[in-house]
Amino acid sequence: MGRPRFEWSSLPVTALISLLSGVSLLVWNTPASAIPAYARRYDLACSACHAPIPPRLNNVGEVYRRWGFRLPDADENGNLIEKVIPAHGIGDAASVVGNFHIERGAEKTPGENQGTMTLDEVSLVSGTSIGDHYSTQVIFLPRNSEGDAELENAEFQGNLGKPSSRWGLRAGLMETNWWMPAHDGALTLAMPMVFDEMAAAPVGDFAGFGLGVNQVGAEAGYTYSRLSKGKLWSTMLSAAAYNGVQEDGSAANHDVAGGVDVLLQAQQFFGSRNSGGVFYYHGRTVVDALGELPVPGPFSDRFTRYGAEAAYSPKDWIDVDAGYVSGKDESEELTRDVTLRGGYAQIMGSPIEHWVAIYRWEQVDPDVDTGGDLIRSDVLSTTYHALDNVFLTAEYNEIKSGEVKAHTVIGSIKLTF
Amino acid sequence: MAVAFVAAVTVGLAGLVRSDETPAEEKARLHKLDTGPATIDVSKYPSEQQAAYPLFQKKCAQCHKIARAINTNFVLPSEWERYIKRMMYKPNSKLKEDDGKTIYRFLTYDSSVRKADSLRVHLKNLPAAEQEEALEKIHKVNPTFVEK
Repeated sequence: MGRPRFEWSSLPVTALISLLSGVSLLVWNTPASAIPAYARRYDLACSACHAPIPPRLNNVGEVYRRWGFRLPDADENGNLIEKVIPAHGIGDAASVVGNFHIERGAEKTPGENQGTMTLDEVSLVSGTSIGDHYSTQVIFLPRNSEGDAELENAEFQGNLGKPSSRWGLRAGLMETNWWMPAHDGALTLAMPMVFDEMAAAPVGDFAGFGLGVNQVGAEAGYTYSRLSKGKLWSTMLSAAAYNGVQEDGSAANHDVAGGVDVLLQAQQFFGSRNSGGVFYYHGRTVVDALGELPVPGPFSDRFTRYGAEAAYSPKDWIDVDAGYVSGKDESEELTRDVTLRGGYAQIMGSPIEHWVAIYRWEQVDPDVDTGGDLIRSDVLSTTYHALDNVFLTAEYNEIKSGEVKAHTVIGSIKLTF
Repeated sequence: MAVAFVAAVTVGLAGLVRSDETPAEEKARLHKLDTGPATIDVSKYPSEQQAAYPLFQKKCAQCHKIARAINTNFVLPSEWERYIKRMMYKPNSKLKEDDGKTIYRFLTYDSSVRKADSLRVHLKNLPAAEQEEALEKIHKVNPTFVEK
């Protein structure tokens, strides 16, 4: 991919590092609290909401987020209550995350170095409850992986009801299926292909629909939770309407094809970090709205995606995840239906505290009626959570697409403040 | 640029939401506890309490710093009973009843040794019946504890 590379000697790097340092100083408004915002605010260890290491959420973290940054807690009699500590400063509400990225690919372009070192994404993550019923979350990237500024997520949420039975409405530029541990709390640098924000393969001139893309819309949800002897159970149901995506696969900031995309989800959280869920997505987009292709459009593409994802932790030091997605594009441009099918299985071990090792097998067939287009991938990844705010990751990824095999080795240093 | 401005303003607003001072005061108090000593010298403790110490360290650092439990001014058996029960009720505490009892015995013993002076003051302030009950519980884990 033609990702722009950063020159270490360039002025923008100096400016970015200065900015990062400046924001970090603001964040460090309390002494000896070099941990991210939510833990700072609630005076909790990372492990209260994350397992085995951040950013992967355990079920307390999932409910905390679903409740709009209100912590599930217990009263003196063990009844479920919510604990709310509003942010008392920018350091309690926002964290800065910086990623440094070292990549080595198998394919060498003449005259170019095989390895590259880049400053990858820098993000500012902020979220807080507001009063009794509202909350907001913003993820702003002063520099995304393409080198541009990007507003990745800006949503506002309203809640009604009691902790055990709660209704919520959120709207804005939203993370659509953030409850999936392999999607939102991914500990690998590469996300499972079937849940990535970019589709594994295009459908004609439509770049394809990526389930992981953030979208503009609104979601109504219901969460039923109960607590018994320290064990939290939670059921989350939601229905959302979105603008959908444009022909290049990016989120549409306005209605591009008449009507709305619909996403229905149901998730169950049980035990410390076990979860399972199903979803159904119905969407549409317009290809070549201006009629610029050799055979001029516009063409409509109506698509569905449905699937399931589950995470199970039989022991404290092991997690097993699996996901499956299927769906169909009714492509006017190709004058046929394109059926997609894919899935992944992942095992993650954490035999030593603060260290995880992951193996993932995955496969996507972007068009089951066409031969030779199967994409297979094996991912081996390991992360060491060296300090509260330092993550070191090394990852090997081998992708086989048809008869072509490629591999990459990626190292990453992530700093969070 | 407009997007960056909106994001910056929203982040700023999100960061400056304030409430009354009570949570801040609680936070300051907890911060003081968290930054105190984070270990206990158990080398002279009975073998039962030495064996319980790693369990205490593991379970009680799940959600907060271990220093909080070490430096708190809780000393009475009833305080530890109530506190440990509360921790057991917390979502995802993963604190089983047997572990809770072991940690209770460890903390009651530790209070009777490391915080013995504070414990005596707390006992003196209790009504006679409660004082007697507390002493009985302390003597179950530390028969050598002297009230005065």
